[in-house]
Amino acid sequence: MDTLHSLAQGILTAASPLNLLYGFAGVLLGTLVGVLPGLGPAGAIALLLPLALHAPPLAYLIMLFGITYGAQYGGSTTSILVNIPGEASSVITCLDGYAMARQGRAGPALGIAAFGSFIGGMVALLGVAFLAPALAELGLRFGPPEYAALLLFGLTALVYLAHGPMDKALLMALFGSLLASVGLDPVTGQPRFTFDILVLRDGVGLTPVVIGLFGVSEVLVNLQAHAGEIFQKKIKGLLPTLQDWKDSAMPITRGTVLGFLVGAIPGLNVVIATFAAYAVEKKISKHPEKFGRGAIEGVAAPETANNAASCSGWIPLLSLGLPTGSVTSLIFGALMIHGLAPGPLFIKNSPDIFWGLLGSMAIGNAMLLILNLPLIGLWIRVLQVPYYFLFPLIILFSIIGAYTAAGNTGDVVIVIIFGIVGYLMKKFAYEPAPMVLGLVIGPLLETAIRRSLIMSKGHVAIFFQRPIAAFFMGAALLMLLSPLLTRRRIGHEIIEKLEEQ
Amino acid sequence: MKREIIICSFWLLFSCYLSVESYRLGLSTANRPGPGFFPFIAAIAIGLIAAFRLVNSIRKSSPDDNSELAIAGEAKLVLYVIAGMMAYAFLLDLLGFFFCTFLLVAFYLKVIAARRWPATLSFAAAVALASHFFFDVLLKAEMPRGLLSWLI
Repeated sequence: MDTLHSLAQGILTAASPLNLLYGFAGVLLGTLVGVLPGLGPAGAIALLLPLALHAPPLAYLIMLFGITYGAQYGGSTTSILVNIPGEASSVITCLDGYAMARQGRAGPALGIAAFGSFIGGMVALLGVAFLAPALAELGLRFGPPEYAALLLFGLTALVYLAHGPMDKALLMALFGSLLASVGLDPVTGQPRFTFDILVLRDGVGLTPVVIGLFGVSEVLVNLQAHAGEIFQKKIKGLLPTLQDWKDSAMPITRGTVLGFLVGAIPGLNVVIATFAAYAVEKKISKHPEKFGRGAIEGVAAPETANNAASCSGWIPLLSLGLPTGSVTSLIFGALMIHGLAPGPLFIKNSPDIFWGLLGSMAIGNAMLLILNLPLIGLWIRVLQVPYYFLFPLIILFSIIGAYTAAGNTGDVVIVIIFGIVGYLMKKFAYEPAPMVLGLVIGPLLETAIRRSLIMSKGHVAIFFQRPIAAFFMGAALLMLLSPLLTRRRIGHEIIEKLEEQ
Repeated sequence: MKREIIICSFWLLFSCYLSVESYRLGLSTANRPGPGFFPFIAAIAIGLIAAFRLVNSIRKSSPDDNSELAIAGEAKLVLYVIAGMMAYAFLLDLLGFFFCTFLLVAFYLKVIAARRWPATLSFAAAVALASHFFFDVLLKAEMPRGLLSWLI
């Protein structure tokens, strides 16, 4: 009952006019970036990080959270109407969503995607409300060795489940950790790798790096991309029929459960949840031949799963302080900018922020359901804006974001450098997520390792003698070393197969 | 594979340089790790992975394999975008936010998107005005005013 009471309080907090305004801006912006191919939620959050200095903490975080789940709604619109997934998590929706649109059933497809997302998001929200505080209680027993082991486990999980070769992802995670060590040493205060450049004394800031990696590099990669064919038929009847609901009820239920479970596991992400949900529906369907030809189950399950996973993905971050991907790393950074340390004490020390954020998710999901269906016409028009009008704006916001955060052009130069780095990474198939995670948790990991070694007088065994630390270290080592023994990554083949499907 | 060899060589050099620099910072004794301890381990690990990938690439490459970097085709466009940003960063204090924004957007639309002058100039002016109103007037972001400080 305490949990429900706290959640109700959170909803009341999130319903204050200022929080509602920021929440509304977040979900609207999220839907916009979800609709627009080429700028994802990570890019939008990166561009908005500098705003953290000017906005109240809770309202600002509500806006960032709104962007993440708003993008899930927006991504489905373009998948169904244009056959272009605005987000990677809506790729699978193209198969049946676009087929439904071509059969004149775009309305029910969009409707069931929105209702499914809403149901998945709300149920997952309850899961987060009950599970996160319990996990945080466990996290309170963590000392430096346990925390170091947990961070290593999180980083390794992301590397292990990376799309490309594991060694490349590990390289990126290490590169991110190295970048994090630029600036003053957290223990002795000695300058490291600053090359007498004033801007580097405070370290390589997360804000200019991610603006470069996710904002500028996206523009560089998409310069030659062409817009797809826009679905021209008039959309009518957004409410699914009774038969549509009957067909979608179980896929929505299964999508919610699967999405919630997959999203809560560090390293797995929203995209995998959608592919898994689709594969399960196809496997157990009496008419698998219908899939890919406009089966509503093929829209309902993945669209529900992506929003459920997007919600449960907050559990490791909010309960243990463990970011699990690019977006959660950026939110981690945003929390740090406001002096809110994500970790086991976060819920205890900042209950108003934690419950306010959960409350805002409930309100935001409802907002999206009410707003999005009538606004579909607007999103289609947005899609028709040529890219050559959009990219100068993205570049301009990138520069302004970096400049206003630091008040000098040094950070703009860092944005440019990491724009080029991000572009080269995309061209040479290096994933940015492990690098960002390395950059964000690098200082925490370093401090935790050094404190642990001071505690143990230099004995590395401390990471293996305490049960919780030993568990996380064992799991991390297993993930790192198993490919050497088995020449394959457990579960990775399944992920690849799902993505091939 | 030629591409992979170049990339791995870069990572190896990067690792060597940072290992030496980290060592100079001081690794200290194991029971009290110094400022160079963590970056040293990370740099060595990068070196090991790069060496592993390099050996694999050399073993797999064939004599007539001469694959080029895949970015050659769009390099010109990328360079234009970067050049515009660099110019913006270096001219911002001198010319001011409004004028720099106008020039940047006009440059991108004319040079990269090859739009006609009327569309280029009107869109650039609209963006410059809207940005000035939003960031300078509304958010009071204190952007540099430069040459036009007497006007706005």
